Amino acid sequence: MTSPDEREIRAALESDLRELERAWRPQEEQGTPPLVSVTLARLRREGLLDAEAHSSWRQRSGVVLGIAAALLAAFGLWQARERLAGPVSGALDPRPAWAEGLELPESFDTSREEVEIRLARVSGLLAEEESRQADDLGETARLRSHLERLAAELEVF
Amino acid sequence: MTDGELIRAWREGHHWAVTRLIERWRRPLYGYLVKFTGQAADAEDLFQDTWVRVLGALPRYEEREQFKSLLFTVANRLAIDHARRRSRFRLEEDSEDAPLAERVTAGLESCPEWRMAGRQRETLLRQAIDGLPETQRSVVLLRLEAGMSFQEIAEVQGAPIGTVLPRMHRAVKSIRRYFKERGHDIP
Repeated sequence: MTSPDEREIRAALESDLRELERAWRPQEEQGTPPLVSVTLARLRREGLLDAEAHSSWRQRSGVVLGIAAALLAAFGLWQARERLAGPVSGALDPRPAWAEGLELPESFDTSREEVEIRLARVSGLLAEEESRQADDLGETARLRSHLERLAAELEVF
Repeated sequence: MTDGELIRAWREGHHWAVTRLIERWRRPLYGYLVKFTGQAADAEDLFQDTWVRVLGALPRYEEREQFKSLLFTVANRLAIDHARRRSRFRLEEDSEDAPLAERVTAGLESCPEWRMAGRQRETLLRQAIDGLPETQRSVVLLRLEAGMSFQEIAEVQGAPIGTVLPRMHRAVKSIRRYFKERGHDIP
């Protein structure tokens, strides 16, 4: 729906344009004679003239792109799975000094989850060892103190 | 055959349908492009580019759409891009040098035969249109060369009619001023 103002503008413009049209001569030239044939040759060169070929090319390229996208997605998923839960393998070589006396496997070939469980177990063992050593140190200090007291008493005598 | 029927024939594998379409639209399309660019060679290049783009878009074309709008929308975009590239190039030229169209006209006007009022008015009108901003030049030429309605021009420019009407109004005002400044009758 046009407003009265718009209708007025349109009417004024139509009148102005009619005057312009009287002074205007539409293009008589149609370009160089082979313009149509040159254009058709270019369309043929670019594979656009044949609608069937054009659409089948589009379909083919669509299928190729679809397959490529699916392959990329599958590869991405596989990589992500590998990173998160894939098997890891290796050997504890050289065996770290702190691991002496601990029951650790010489090598492993298992899932990352399994390795993490084992590492947690090792971490727990280490904590226990540290605590035991701390207790030993406390005992040693107590013995040293006791011996020092004895030595002092002997000196008195 | 209508444009829609020709497009359907092309889809069914008839090459002649494209030839018919190009021939049918040759005059208005080439006319619009040559008047917009002012150069026959540029217009011919843009004419080919337009058909390459249009045929590329035809598989998505629906018959209820106006083919004329699709054709001129593509041509208009290409012509405006071309004009923008040219205007950047022109900045590097000597600014005191008169535009080619004016120099040619000055030369022609010295010939008695060329002094015919009609010719002169037409030349002035072309010059006035050449001097308009791209969007205004486009609305005037779509009307004068392609014979489009305001609604069709709005579709081609991808703008509401409320934008196209003032655009046309400003263009006509500028053309009138151009004539007045040169002491000529307003067309």
